[in-house]
Amino acid sequence: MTTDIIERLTTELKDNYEGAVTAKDGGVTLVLLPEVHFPPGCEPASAAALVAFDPSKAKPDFYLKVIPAVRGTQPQHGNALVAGENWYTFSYNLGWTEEHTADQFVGGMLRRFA
Amino acid sequence: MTTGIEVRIPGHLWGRLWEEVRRPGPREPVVFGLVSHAQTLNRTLLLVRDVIVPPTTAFVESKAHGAKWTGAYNISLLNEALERGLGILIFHYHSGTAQVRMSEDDKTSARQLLSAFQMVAPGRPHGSVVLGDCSAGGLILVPGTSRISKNFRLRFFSDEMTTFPILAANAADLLSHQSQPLLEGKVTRSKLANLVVAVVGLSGGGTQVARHLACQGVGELIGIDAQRVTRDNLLATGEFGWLDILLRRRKTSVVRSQVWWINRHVRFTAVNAFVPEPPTIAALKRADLIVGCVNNLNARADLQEIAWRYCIPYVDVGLGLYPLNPNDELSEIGAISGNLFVALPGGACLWCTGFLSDEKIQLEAGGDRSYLRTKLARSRQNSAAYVASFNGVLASLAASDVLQLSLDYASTIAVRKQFDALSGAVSEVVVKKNPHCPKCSSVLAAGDPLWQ
Repeated sequence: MTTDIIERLTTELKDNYEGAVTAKDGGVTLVLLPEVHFPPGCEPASAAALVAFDPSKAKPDFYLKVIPAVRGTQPQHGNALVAGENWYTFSYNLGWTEEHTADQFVGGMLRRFA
Repeated sequence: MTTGIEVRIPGHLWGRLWEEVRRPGPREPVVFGLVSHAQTLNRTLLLVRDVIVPPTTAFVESKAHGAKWTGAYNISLLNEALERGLGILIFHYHSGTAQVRMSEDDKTSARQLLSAFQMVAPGRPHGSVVLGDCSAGGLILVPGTSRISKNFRLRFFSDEMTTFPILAANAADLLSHQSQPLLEGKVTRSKLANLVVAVVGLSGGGTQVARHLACQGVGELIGIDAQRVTRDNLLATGEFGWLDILLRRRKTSVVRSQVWWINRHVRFTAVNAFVPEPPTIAALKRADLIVGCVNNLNARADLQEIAWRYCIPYVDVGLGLYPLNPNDELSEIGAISGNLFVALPGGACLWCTGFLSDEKIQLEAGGDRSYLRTKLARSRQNSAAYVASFNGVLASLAASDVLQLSLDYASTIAVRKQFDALSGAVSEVVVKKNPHCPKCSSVLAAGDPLWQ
């Protein structure tokens, strides 16, 4: 992912998510989304999310502060240490490329819980 | 709970900084440090991420005491700090072994500069530090306040860990400590009593490390383990008993009792959580030293990252039993190998030496099923093996390294030691820092991210 594309995607996220903030950590650009909404039926209904743009990767990494229970069951997930904080990660093969928008990426990842 | 400020300088930067601030020349040398920062429960850490030696063209003639540099250089320095999301520390040097203090000229110019730096880059700390041969002084301005603080600790790493100010003691006590640092005395006791050590993983190695540290009288021992005692643990350490299993006691509870019996002045803090859960991270951030006794590479990678990010020495302990034929459950033992790695900030890390790699971590996470089978077989063998005494050797070595780092009783410390339990020999493995290590360049002294 080039610097220009990372900048475009970061700007999109900051424009579309209220209170979104960014940070650089090593070579990685992080975007913290204070609140993303899970599909209906999830408990809790929303949580903070983190999108990490690593120039050496084709797709961003996506993390959540909370993994929601979907119809009473919590999907498999793992812990990840990102920029000194604990985040939850989950496996989901989203067909997303650089031509798509950042909003499509976040929305697509959250469909894992539909 | 006391709050304070601590400046930490990794070893690879300290050597250059110390040389440059004392370089003889036409004017008082000045060196700039670019710093990140982190907030712990009781301290603001200023973590030096880079050192910049200004060119001679940056300076202008000054009638006042000290060096003076151009406004243009200030702007270029601020631009670099802003670009990298870091603050600025100004370092200079006053010779002598007495407590160093900033001159009135130094203070006046520092107050002006720090306020100006904060206006441009308010999210990170700024400061002016004078280094002496045995002390440091200066002024620090942390984010979110306009109050400049003159009270801070400075810690730097080389082959050892040195902290200024050196504890207050009379000349006789200091001399006694310098000549016989291992003898119990006022300075030795104070140094150990001021130490916070986190031990992660309270099984075969960790329980025995904790016992030694309690005996040494460290101020606070943070025990981190989420599990309860099981039958397997009885073969890995002599610190647990059958009643602990019967009562389903937490490992941290057992260690707390042991520590109290050995030395009731040691404060034990139990963290019943896994790595990298939030209580674990919060506890590790405020430790002076981390001893990792974990049994997987993922946890090791996380501990290494936390240690590097906040400039904390990390002592890693591990023991493995390796069958001659990993696919044969009845295979003879090929090797019983223990490793002890002392990662001092700025020196070699577990990634530099290839002990950790993305490939190994992926394999451990389940990318390769044949590897998993091997791992399963190995773990079956480990769980059934009598390894308490082998773990004891490694725990003793780790506790000795903690003692060496805190009391500085030897001039060098072996970064990696290998224990061959079949021969009983411990040998040093020479390792070198990889100058191109991606983890060192991205994580070391990175601190907390600066959100904006």
